[in-house]
Amino acid sequence: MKTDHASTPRRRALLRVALAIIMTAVFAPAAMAQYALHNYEGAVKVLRSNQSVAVTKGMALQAPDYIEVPSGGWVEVSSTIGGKTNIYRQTDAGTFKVPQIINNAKRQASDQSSALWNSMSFAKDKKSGAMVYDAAGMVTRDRVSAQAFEPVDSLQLAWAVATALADNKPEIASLLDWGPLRHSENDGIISLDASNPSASPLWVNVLCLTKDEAGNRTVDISTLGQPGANFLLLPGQSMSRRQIMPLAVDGEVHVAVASASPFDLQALISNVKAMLLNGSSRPKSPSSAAAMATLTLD
Amino acid sequence: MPDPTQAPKGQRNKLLSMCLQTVGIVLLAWILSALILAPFSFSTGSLLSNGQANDFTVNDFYNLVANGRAVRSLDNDVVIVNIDQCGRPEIAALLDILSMQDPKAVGLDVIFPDEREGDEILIDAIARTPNLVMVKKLQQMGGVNPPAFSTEIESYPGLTAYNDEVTFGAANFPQSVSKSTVRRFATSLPLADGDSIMSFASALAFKAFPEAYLDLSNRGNETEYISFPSREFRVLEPEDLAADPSVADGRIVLLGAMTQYSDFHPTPIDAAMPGVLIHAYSLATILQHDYFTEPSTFVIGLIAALLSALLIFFSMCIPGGVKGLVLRLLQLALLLVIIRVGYWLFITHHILLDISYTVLMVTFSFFASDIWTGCATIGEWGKKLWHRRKSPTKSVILNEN
Repeated sequence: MKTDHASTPRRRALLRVALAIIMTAVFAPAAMAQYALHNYEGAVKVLRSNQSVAVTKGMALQAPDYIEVPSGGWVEVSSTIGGKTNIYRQTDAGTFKVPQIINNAKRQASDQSSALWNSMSFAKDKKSGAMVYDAAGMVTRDRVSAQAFEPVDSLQLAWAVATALADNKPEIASLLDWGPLRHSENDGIISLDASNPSASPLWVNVLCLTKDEAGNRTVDISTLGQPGANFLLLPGQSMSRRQIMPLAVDGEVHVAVASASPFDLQALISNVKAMLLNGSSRPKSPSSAAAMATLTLD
Repeated sequence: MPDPTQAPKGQRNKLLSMCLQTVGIVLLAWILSALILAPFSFSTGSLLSNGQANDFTVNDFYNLVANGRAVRSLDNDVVIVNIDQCGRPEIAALLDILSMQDPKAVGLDVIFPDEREGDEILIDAIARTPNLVMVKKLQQMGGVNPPAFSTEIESYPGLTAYNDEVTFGAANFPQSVSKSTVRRFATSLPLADGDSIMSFASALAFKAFPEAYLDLSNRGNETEYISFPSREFRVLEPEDLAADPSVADGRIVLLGAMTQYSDFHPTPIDAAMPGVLIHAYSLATILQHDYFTEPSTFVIGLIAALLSALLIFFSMCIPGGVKGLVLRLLQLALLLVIIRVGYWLFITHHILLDISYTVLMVTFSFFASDIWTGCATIGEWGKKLWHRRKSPTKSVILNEN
């Protein structure tokens, strides 16, 4: 009987390659899954390499992590594969690996008969005696609104701008903890830079004190500004505006305004006009809630 | 000697008689169930211990059971921003942020009925928001057939004066009575002028995923069941969106109140669900093509009749003595099987089989059988009495013989 010894090692090599491909196809999705602690209740612990780690909602988990679920508590683990996220719930007490929790949840979810039986009234409730206490008849008043978006006091802002325009210098350098506005002049090019390293959005625009066609002083949007709407800088964003032609013409004064709350541009211009040009009384010192910054450009 | 050809004929006659009796008893069971359906469905609700037993279907029970499973999916297409603490300037700020991102659509589940000072910011923000759908509330016009609707409340027109591409969607959901359980959403609602308006969820799907909306409209249904079970949505506070606006990219963002009690509605899985969340579930049903099929009344009746016939025919074949015990156990087992099969159809095939009618028919099968037997016996007594009265002498002579 003839034996083809030369092809056997080759066949073995091909087999190994095929097996590797199959194993990769089977286990690759599991390897690419991203786990996180979606939610929990009770004194849940996460153990990683035999060390207890601080537990927070949304924290990333690793497949070898152990999760200790206390009696009466529960935990939900999310698994994201290919952009699709499923949430797996574990209510039994014990210590489980992340994949164990997922498998337990899948098994429980597929057991239709048990789910039906447990939900019917004549079946014993596993947590018989446990009750939930809901409050009733209670109303609340005067809740503080989302301070992140509390609208800026338009009169305060107008006062800051009017003062800066009138004095041709920044009366209030910045009430924000950082200075978002910078300007420079280089070879006749005026630059305005605004950056937002904070965690809140920033609304920015530039006004100018100029003269109208009749030669009367007026307040309008600067050529460096944006008519109709303010610039919006999201957290981590910055912007830059440049003017090649000379900016200040015949005593024009430009003021850049940055506010951590949205402001009405047209109302601001009207109020500044009233304060600066019509001699209207200015408000007293600005409140700390009106966080704003002005920068005079010339 | 008895004629051997008569024996099979006698068995055939007996079989025919049993079949005819079965048909008669099934008809009687159907009549009884039709007459007693309403009070018994209330009893069914009590049996299954649902708090909303006055507005209950067995599929609500299936929704509850399915929603209690240990696996849920986190919807990747819809995000909710809770604007419960937001006034108009804050909502304008959120729209500003969204206009800088790339959402598939923005749904504003808020009505601004009157103009207020300082609305310019909001008007500007609305003008810049792409793919915006706003909501309006309709009211049904009385005494009109077919039903038609007119606008009851909507935002004042000046709010959207600078955005020609704003679409409006109706916030109304079909219910059996006002404030009852919300199980379905409307695809569109007919207006009094002959036109129609999409529902809020349909309008958002139309803006964001036109192919999903096409699938919905091709189904040709006025309403669709909402797929509630085992689904969760990302719910953000305004600060969360400000800190990470990229969560809006490629998604539909719904701005609505999540904790205003006046906008809570009962659903099969939650006795008090925020309105914006119900819109999210409706939208997810459209986007995932997660529709339910409801068999026709004829099919449901046929299933009920066949099961009932099976039970009755089987009861005729059981000898006396253990007959009662066997039948009662069989009845209970069949009820459990019906509930089990109904849940399997709900979960696996998205079929809403109204098993209440089948349960009733099975329950009333033996009742009908007893009535049939009783009436037949009374009929026999009456017949004998009639014959005795008709020819009393003949019967005396026969007795003497």
